[in-house]
Amino acid sequence: MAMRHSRRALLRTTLGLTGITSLLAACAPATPASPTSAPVAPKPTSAPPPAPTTLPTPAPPAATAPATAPPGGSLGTPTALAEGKLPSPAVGVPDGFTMMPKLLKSYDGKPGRGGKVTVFTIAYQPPPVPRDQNQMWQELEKRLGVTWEPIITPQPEYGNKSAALIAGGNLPDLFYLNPGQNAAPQYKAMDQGAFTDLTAYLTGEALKAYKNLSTFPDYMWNNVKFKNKIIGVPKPLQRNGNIAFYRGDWVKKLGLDAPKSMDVLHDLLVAFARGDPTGSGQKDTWGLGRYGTDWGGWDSTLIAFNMFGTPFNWRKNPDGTLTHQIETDEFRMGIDFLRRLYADGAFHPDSAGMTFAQCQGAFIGGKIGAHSEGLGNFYSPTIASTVYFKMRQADPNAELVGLYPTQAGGAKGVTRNTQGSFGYTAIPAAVGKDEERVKELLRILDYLAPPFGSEEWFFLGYGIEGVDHQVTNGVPVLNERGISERGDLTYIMAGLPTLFIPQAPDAVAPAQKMAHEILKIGIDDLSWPLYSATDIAKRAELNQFGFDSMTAIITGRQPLSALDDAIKEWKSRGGEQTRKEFEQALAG
Amino acid sequence: MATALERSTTVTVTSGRPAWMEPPGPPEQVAKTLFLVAIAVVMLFPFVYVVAISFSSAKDVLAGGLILWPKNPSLDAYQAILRGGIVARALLVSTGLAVFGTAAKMVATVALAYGLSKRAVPGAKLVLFLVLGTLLFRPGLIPSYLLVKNLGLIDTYQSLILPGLISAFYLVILRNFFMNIPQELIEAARLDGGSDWQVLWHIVLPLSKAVLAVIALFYGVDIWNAFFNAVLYLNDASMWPVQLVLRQYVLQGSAMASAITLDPNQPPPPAQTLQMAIVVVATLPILVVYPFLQRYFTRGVLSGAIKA
Repeated sequence: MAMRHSRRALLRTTLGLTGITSLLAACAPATPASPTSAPVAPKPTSAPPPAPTTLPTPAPPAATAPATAPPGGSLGTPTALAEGKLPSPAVGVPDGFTMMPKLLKSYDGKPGRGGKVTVFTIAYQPPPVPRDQNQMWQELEKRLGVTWEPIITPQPEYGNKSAALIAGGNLPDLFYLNPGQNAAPQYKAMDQGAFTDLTAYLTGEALKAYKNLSTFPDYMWNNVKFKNKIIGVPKPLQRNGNIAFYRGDWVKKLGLDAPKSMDVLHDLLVAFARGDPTGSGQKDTWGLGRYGTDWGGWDSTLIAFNMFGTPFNWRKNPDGTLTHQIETDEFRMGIDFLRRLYADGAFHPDSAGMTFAQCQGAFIGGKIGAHSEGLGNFYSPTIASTVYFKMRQADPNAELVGLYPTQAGGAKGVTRNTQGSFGYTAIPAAVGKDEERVKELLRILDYLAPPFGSEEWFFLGYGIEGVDHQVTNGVPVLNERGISERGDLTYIMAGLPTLFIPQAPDAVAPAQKMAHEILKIGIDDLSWPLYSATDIAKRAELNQFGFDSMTAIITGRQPLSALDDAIKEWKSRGGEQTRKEFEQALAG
Repeated sequence: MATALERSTTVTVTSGRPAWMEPPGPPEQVAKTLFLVAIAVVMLFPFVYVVAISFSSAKDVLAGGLILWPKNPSLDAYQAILRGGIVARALLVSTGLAVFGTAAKMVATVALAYGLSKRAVPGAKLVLFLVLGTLLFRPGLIPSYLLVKNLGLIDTYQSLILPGLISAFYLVILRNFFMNIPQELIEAARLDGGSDWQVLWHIVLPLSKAVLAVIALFYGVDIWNAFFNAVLYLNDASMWPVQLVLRQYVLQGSAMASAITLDPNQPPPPAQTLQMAIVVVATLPILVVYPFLQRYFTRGVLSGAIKA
């Protein structure tokens, strides 16, 4: 998990703000919150069925009082004009940009009214430089028109701090929610009405007051609904989930065929372990690293499940009932595939206890030959800090080839999408009593989601020229001061993901194509917008149980038939109840 | 027969000490030395490894394998951590907390321990009972947070010191030590007209230097290592102590690594190197203090182990 952030952070720094988010997006879903915590597959909220494309639009609350509302607001996207733009070919695929655009202002006036805004935020980076020495922070406050007071909370402690803040009352004005980050009790707070229902503010005509937020695709809003209500403003993330890549140079060296079928893939992964693709003369390479943390895997297990087209947690049957992935034939074939790989020695000896970071390290260091990771890591070996880049540092001959599920498993392969967001920012109920305050806070979030190529986007990503970044050859590069000034000051929000790779503009078009191809076979978890109390209460426990059962079978301690017992136990320990609750929610 | 006995007796007499105190023969010496060296190596090994990795170049670390001496020494990891001044500031905060926090804790613990060491103090039993209760029953996260919040201590350094100002465990050790100080000394001071405070200051504390040093060290280390209360009680990140800041670097090692890459063509130090450098930075201050306290340390830890 740490890795995910890491990547995120790096990408952020190396690519533009927006570019980053898109890339990370790719990584985020795959990486569980923390090595020990539940897998990410953030399934934050729940609500009725995968909503129609347009949201229900209750009348906006009380007509705006123009007298109090400051003038101005976001002006819409200037990106349409940008030179070198590669427009997104489909919803969910980021726009690409091959050159630094001419910056345009996208926001008129100041969103804030001059008070103080406290912000509870998760943080993946060291704290920013204190305000009195932090020019970027000072400038941010000037632009927002408020005193910006983030409560920077390290990711591992995010859940505890969240619980303490909620118990203590007096919640901060903006509260970043992400129950997937060890913070499942947030659901309870949402259920008890701790946060303002923003549905009326963020649907239909009312949403148009927030030009940037109104460009968010529908899936972003739908996937974070809680009991059919919009509780928070989602932070954009790229839609593509994790995808597997393997060492093409190893395949060549060992004289193998590209994996066109699962059998060939099996032989290839075993050959990575039995052969000597690095030419070290020692037995120090393997096919795969760790297999994951729960039923779904996320790591190398996910490779197998995706190849066989296993559903993303749940499959809806024609009669409206649900089948969990572990009950499907595809899942069983996946487990069997992994079991045989293990028996043939394709797995790294530490695979059961590996963390995500260790698995990634093993891939970069040339110990394992295939690995599943955020798409952004594989776009191009020229993008600093990506897995591909680091691998080339360790081995200049390294070649990575996408193991697209459709290639090996026939036409049935899938990849798992992200929700399109990573957490969402809510406004506590007490704060929400004042409609003008709600609108002010939403304007601020709107300001923090600037479109690519806007002057605001540039500021939020790169800070102040000469202080936080230098422009070399037209490309801004954040300097060390900029990195420590920006930190996670405005982590809670970002613009929509874009592909902008200043160091490797040629990589943009292929990257966009790759993202599109993968999105075509992308599947969603249909339970994202559904609410199940049992799921929330039991998920962590059942995930652990799933991992344990799966480990026993894959490592050969138990036969494949033990899967039936595991499924039975899963049902009795809450799986059946969860299914019922989701089915009811689905029926609406 | 008689001669033999005589001889053996003579030997005992000349050496002047019982058999178990005879110096061991060379083979025993060698065995003991080897054994102790082996233990020392086992103890030092991880530390050497940590230090070596922290000074190694990225390439060596990525190549894997056991590194016990940096082949291509590099300061990249340390430079990365110390850039931006955030860690330097946090070190200052932690040092301040450790100094003032330890002082406050020592004053409170000594005062209570001395009071409770007097049998005649009314209610001492009850107070001791309550104090010991904290060993068994700990407040949960939420109650602690609510208490600190309602005391208005959120975003103050006091919030990191006042909760748990007195450790029941150290208090009991100290109280027992005070109780073992010969009453005659205290009575003598009394006869000379010393007040309770004077007795404490001039008689009891000087006699307790060893145990005080140890408890102060423990308190200091506890404060130095604490990070969780800071997460909970400090909303203002500029007040974070060093462990919390460094933890961010450790956990997000690679994130950091990427964040500090200025030259995109220059690979960042690998996460592992950074983490090891952080371990060194976080441990160093304690290691520096330790030798100065060491002579008290052995005595203090053993206090009460043997009844005179």
